[in-house]
Amino acid sequence: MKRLWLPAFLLILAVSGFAEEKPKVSLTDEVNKSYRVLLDLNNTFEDRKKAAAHLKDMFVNGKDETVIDAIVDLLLYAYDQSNYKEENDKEYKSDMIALELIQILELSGDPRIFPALLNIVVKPNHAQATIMEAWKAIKMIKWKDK
Amino acid sequence: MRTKILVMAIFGMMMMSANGFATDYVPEDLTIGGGKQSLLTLKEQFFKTSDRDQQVIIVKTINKHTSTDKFALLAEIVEFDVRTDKLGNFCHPDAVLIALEALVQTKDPKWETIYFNLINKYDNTKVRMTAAKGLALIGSPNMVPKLVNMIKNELSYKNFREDNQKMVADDMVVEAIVMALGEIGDPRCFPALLEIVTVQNHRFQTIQAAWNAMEKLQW
Repeated sequence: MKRLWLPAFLLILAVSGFAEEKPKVSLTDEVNKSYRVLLDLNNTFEDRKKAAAHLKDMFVNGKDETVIDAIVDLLLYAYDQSNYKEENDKEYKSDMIALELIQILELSGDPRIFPALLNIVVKPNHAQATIMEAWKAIKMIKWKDK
Repeated sequence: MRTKILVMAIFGMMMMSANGFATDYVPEDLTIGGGKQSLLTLKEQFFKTSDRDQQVIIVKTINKHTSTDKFALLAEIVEFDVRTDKLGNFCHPDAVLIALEALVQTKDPKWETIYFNLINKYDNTKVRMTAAKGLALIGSPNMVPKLVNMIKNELSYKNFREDNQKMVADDMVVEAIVMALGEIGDPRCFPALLEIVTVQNHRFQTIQAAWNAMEKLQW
């Protein structure tokens, strides 16, 4: 019986390790595909732009609410570039992607987007245009207590 | 060349402020709803950082919240450093001042102990003066004995000198307390005010404030 403990423990570790690669909420497969492309900042700007457009389509036409969870996760963890410099082309292009993602959030008006947007407006980790877009998105949140 | 760079820098700064792109910018027409949940988000974000601009933006955003629960959060921020009694401040004085100004406007007596503790322990003159203004707006006589003790003993210097920064800063606080005592109008502060105008170990402004306060006492 004791011999079973170690493999079981390793199995749990492995499962939890894989689980960390995904955001805590479960995304639909389509959204997850685009999320993966956007998550890796080394992917080309064009590929990530296409993925962002796909997410927008999934949200607007596919009515897929998990798009919001995916974008919130991306903005909080992948596109929060500390020491952001506009002169750095790679960082600047990533920030343009962040701006497009914010514009998708803007369409939702969902209060769940507030933490991600607040994180953008307080930190100097984004271009001015991105910060202003985040403020615009905050103003468009449809708060449930109103 | 240097002058050119300086002129360009000043022009740049003017342009930034003209566009409203200050580093602690928050839109004027912002409204935050969402009740306790969004306040919790703001609180978590505030205590993640000790950066001045970030803290100021968050406090300004809290001020834009629609719920009156925001005042409890502002009070928590205002008294954080005094309550934790650590060396150095975690909350930037500029953020504390903005939060305090919002609290003071409520004229709510439940914050008077916080104001007193700030006057007594905080190390920023503007914050201490605003806290005194808070007590004045409340107008509660509860704090009079403690305030009198403060101006007679803790903030009084026998050999007051205007070239001593600490003495001058403390005296600016005394001036604010004296003004508060005038607004409260409780005659128990008369001996302390009389001492200020007779002994004259204060700035001219403080002595003038003591005369004005005496006129306001409700005998």
